[in-house]
Amino acid sequence: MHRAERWIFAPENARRLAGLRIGLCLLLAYRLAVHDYDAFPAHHLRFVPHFYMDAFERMPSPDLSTLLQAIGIAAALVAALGLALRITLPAALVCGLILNGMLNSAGRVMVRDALLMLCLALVVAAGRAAGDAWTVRAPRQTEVGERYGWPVRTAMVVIALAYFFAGFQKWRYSGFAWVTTDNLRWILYAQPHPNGLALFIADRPLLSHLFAACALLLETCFPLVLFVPRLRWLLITAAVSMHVAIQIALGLDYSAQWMTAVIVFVNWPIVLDWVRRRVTPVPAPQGTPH
Amino acid sequence: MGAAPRYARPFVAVFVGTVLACALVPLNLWPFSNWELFSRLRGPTENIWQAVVTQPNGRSLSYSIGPHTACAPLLQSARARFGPATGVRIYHSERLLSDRVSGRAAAPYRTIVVTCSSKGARASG
Repeated sequence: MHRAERWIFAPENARRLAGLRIGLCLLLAYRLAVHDYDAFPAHHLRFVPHFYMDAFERMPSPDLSTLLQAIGIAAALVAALGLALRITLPAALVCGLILNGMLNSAGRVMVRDALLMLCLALVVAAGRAAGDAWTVRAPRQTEVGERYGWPVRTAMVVIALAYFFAGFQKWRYSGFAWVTTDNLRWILYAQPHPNGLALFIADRPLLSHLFAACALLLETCFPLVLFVPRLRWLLITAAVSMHVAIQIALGLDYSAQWMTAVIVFVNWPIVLDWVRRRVTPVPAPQGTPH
Repeated sequence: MGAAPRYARPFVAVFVGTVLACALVPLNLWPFSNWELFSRLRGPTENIWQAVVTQPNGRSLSYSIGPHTACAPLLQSARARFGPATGVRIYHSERLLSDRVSGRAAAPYRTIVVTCSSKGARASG
């Protein structure tokens, strides 16, 4: 337990947390922009409030949802710039929660944006530390401290747990039969209009068993991402590939989930420094032999 | 200067604890999900229950309903949604998922389960 605490609260560069803030806020702004929330309440007569949406008597009106969408996008973009974070970050989070809550209150709860909202909540909880670097006002801050590390590493833990539990629930409710039966074939066939890739896999039992086994193995082993940094590239790339394959074969959009994982696990300051070195090579000191 | 704020440790404990609890109980307190994505085995058949509402002008409207839906509340909600309805018929459709014709899903086998009207329910079959 103490080792876990020491790991979570280890010092980190302010830029790492800032990278998280910018990435997650831009992703939220994009996610809020692509949905047509004002048309949503007009087309759904039934309002089945999920969890905190009980606070609403009915589905928020098209006018209110448009207002929340505009505020959410603006707040997320201003927060990405690092301005007025005490107001903009919570505003973006609250708008995201209400608008996603509307989607979840139409009879079916969607997992897809859950990780984004959880990780964004951690950036909000980081408080002023999230704005100590890569902001319009303090662009070059390179301070290192505990206050920058815990939101980043807690986000890593939450993502690792999310993937692990997606696998754990399959073991819990279905066991190894999730792989050995025709379960994945039926999932692929059950779509209203399965496409060529879905039918290609579903029509080949061995291939569908292989895909099922790979998915279950990846989800079960995903927590290794925390303990073996060298495996991060492999596991994150595999997770992204899995989600892209699901999107193509099943039409389910989990881009918010895999983009959140990429934003959290990639060390953006190192990537940026590497890119900077490649773009502007450091001149060799005078007198150095060539 | 660089120390974590005092609330950070309890916050992390509660936050991660909630993630764990929601998955283990399981509870779906979105965004604290239970992560039960496709976790239950699918069967080779697909069962669909549909309500078909007949309006006084003779037009019919159909929509999906859950299994074991009772007649009285269904008739009440149909009248609230679509105006005065003369009756609601509940159909059960069953489709073998692997049953395909030229790459397209074969038509489901549909049977009428019950006819609901203001006079009461009349079971079929």
